[in-house]
Amino acid sequence: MRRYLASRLLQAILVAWGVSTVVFGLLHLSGDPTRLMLPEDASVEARAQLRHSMGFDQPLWLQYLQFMGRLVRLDFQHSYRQNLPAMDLVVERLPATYSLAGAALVVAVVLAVPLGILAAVHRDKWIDGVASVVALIGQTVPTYWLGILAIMLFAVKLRWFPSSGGNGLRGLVLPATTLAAFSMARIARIARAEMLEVLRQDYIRTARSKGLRESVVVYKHALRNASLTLVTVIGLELGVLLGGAIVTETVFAWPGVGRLAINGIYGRDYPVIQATVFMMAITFVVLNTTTDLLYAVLDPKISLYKRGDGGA
Amino acid sequence: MPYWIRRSASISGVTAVLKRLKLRGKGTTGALLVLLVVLMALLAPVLAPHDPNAQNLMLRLKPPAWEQGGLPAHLLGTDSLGRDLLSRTIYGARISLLVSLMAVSISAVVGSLLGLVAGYRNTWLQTVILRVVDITLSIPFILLVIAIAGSLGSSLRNTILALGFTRWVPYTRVTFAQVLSIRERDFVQAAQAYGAKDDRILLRHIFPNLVSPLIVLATLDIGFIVIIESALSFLGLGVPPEIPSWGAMLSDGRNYIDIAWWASTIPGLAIMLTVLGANLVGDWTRDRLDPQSRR
Repeated sequence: MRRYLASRLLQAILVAWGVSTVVFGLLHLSGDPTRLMLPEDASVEARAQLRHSMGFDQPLWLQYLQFMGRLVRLDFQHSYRQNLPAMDLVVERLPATYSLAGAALVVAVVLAVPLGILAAVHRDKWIDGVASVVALIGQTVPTYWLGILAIMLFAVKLRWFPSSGGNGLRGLVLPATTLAAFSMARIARIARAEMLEVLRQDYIRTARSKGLRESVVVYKHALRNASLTLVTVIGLELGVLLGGAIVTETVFAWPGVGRLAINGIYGRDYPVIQATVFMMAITFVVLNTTTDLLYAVLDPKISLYKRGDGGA
Repeated sequence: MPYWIRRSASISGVTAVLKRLKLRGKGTTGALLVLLVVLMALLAPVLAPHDPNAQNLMLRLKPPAWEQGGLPAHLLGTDSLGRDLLSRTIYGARISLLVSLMAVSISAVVGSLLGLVAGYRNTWLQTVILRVVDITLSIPFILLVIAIAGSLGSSLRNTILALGFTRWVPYTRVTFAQVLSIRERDFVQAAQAYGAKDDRILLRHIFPNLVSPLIVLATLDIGFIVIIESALSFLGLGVPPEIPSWGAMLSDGRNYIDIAWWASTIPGLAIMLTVLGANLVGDWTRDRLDPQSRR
């Protein structure tokens, strides 16, 4: 276990380094970072001066080393627009994004897992039909449109919930449910497929032939075995939700890192964009590593040493 | 084994099932929806009753023809600048279709090539490719697309590039997982024993077995890319505002949700029906081509 843990951590560090390189590359993607920072008709001198003051006229490898040197200290320099360290701006808003994604995950799991199980147990009955319609809608309706529709109905017309975030739990309901829709569809589908698979197994037949009640068979024997895949899927889904939160935050004016990043992009505020992408990726790496370790702990059949070879 | 191999191993391909192609039920519905969007895109200048960019501030936010105050000339109403929503919706199909097809083609080609290379031999290239997959997967997809599109600047070409070069990972994953198992099969071993060159084995013996899973993946991906493209336009980071796109229409209509429901509902419906059609066709393709999915 310790060896597996060590190799998994090493892998995570490697990924973090890769992500930092991508983050560095973002700034230089368009060739000249000052291209979008100044108006198109800016003079050559103004451009050269900005390039010099930003240090963009230095060799790329030197810029990379300097960037990495700062990154180790989690320093992404000051935001171009607000006179504050970019990292502070991101860290300040991370809790809002985490709570939105977390709440959405709770909504998705609480609704989708029972729905998937019921659909599998009552295969081809009406509840199965409901589940497929939910799955279909969840995967075809763009989150931001669903958000607009939700605002239109529940905030503007019925006035049940506020249309923008930051108003405590009531303000969380609409954004979290909107964000949850896509994941809900996927979790329900996988829960259904997984339960169907498990319910076909011999040990389920044995359990039934022992005369156990159907509820015991489904919830004790089947669900336990299906939960293995579900844990992995749910862990990965949280990462998807963190990404989805970015768009949802814009629709609901939610004060999280997503809105910060979008505004950063509008304002060409590269330090803020870089810090956001970095922190979101690190969150994702931590989640992934935890999910993998959890999977290893949950599934006694997995040989930890074999899986620890890190891929290939 | 990285976690994603566990997940991608479920897609398996058999080309022999191709001959069982039959259109039925959801396949038909999906095909009809897709056909409708394709026709809208191809025949936009013929079908659209108005110039999609023609503004008329006297006719701002007119409701659809069937609502009170609606005009027969503007069947689906007008937007905040008095532009005809029906015409803009018809023209918007062009962007969604063009961007999704181009982006999916780029990512399918790039992704499957990388997967082939990574899967065939256990070289340093394999390690590098798998690491890059891990790295790309750890950045939330939409955030990466937004950051890249934002760094490149908004244009049709940049939108396609940003999507195409971020979405290759699933194709690499599927190709890699497939190649790993196919390369151990007898016919590949036989070809190797006969002294066939690597490129011949890869292209003539291994690649044909990958076509079905890749087609399934690509069809299922189109709907997703339509959603992401419209999200980019919605955020103002996709195609420039002078080109009518569903995402930008939604974004504009969103400012008037309390007085003009149609301005955001109509482009939203267009996106939803397109994605629905693409997903149904994708599901149908998977049912036909992937025997494992038919439970």
